[in-house]
Amino acid sequence: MSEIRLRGVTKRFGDIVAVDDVSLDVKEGEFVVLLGPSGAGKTTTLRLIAGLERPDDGEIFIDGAAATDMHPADRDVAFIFQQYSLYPHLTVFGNLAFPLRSPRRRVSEAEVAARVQSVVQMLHIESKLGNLATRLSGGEMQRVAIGRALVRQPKVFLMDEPLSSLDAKLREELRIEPKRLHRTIGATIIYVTHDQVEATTLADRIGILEHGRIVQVGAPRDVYGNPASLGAAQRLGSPPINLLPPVLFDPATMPAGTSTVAIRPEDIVLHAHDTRDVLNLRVLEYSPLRHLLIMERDGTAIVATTMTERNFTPGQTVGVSLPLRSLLYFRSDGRRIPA
Amino acid sequence: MDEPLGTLDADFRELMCLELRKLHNALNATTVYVTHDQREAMAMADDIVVMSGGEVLQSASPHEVYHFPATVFVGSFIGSPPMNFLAVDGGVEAGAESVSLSGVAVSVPRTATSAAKALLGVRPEHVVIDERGALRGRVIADEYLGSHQILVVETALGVMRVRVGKDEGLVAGSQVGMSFAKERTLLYDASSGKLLPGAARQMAVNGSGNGGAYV
Repeated sequence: MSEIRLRGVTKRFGDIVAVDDVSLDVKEGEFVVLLGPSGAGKTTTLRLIAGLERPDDGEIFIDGAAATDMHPADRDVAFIFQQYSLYPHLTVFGNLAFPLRSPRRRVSEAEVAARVQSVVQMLHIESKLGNLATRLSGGEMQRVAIGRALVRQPKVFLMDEPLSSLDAKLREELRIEPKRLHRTIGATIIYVTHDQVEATTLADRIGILEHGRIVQVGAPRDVYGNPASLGAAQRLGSPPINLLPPVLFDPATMPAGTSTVAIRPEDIVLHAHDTRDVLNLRVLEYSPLRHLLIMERDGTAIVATTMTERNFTPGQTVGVSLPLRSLLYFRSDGRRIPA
Repeated sequence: MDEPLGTLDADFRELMCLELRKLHNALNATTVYVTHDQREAMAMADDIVVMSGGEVLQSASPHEVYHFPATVFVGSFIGSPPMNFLAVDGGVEAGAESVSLSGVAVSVPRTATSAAKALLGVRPEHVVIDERGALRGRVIADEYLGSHQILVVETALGVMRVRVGKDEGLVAGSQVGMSFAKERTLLYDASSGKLLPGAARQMAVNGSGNGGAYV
């Protein structure tokens, strides 16, 4: 297992800058999740690390050694694709043994059998060894794809949305698999997803990508609680963070240059409407299911969540306070203003 | 509509839920929508029909399906994380207002029916971490989700999931006590998997009961 370093890596496709001056250090044994919308450059970053693409600028180091010009096969990284890409004509055993039978590796058949066996045990697919890869459920295919990376005992695992083509319930069940893998073998993992739940539950650190640039890297709590930009603030959080115009606030309490004030829905304090320091809002809708209260003031919607079920009727007025310590201030260009 | 949003990424799917519901309202349409994604179902439906193995298990408003799942399957399928189910010692008698969970008495809404083997069902947000709580367990994981977190607690009756606030995390290994929001506990017949009718059913919160068009 080992570390990865990107230094000012840039990749262009024609006029499009897919990855723009990205620098990132992934420590040995670390689980880093790259999070961003479609087209943010997540997959291209993984492909650059794997050597499937060559950077136009910048350098890549694996284990301290310059890897920018290294052949993909010499980098000793395993890539797990979104679509599994199993060999349909082979059995589960054949798929798992395939990387070990490469002439580059010269692993004995006894060793192949032993390694495959230990991998299927770890992934709980012992009973499926004889099945053709096409005769598996989605979850089993996903496990075989992980297993095929595991048998090689690579330095680094690169996972490209490995759960996104599974159905919702199965995705939730299998979310523990990469984490378990990480704990059991202490693997270095770079994991790409657009799913914020996967990001916050799996990652040691999250890297938020936007338009090919890394806008923030940090522990999940850090990125959620202390976002560097408006984009990063909106990337995490469900329901999303509230973005409010400065007119709702006392100018004396706001830093100069504030164009947006943001607050997380769970940080809004609801109470009776006669206390001081209160903003009176009109209720638009209350969803008891998600403990979600949608309110409005002068056309600005404000969403609050409560830990327990409450009772609200559309049209009623609710007094809320927006605690100063929970407010985040942003400039018009999206940069955070330290309070 | 047959899973029209299935291949979209998460953000766009949420947006499209809102758009589809608006479209439905604007057209005054009748819509039958098929999905495996409970969030889509909850966000858009007037009524949800939960199916498994070719059978309709429950057909009701999102509120009803969430708070009073007709079967153990529905309780596990709807809700993220799913409802917790704990085996009740012995069974339950009609009229009982308390059940025993591995020797600990837990009060429940009065049940109208008896069952030889029963399960107690409770949603993760209706379990309270409570030092004096009778049910004891050990935290084995803490899933951080930004706005809140899910504690995974190992107990004598199996693994429980408990929803707590974002600043109420506990390190793995902590010993905790738990109690339940009584009016939010349900009893199920363990052999048929069906909800036992009883007092809980009448204790629904007020409100429209409709998940509405908000995602």
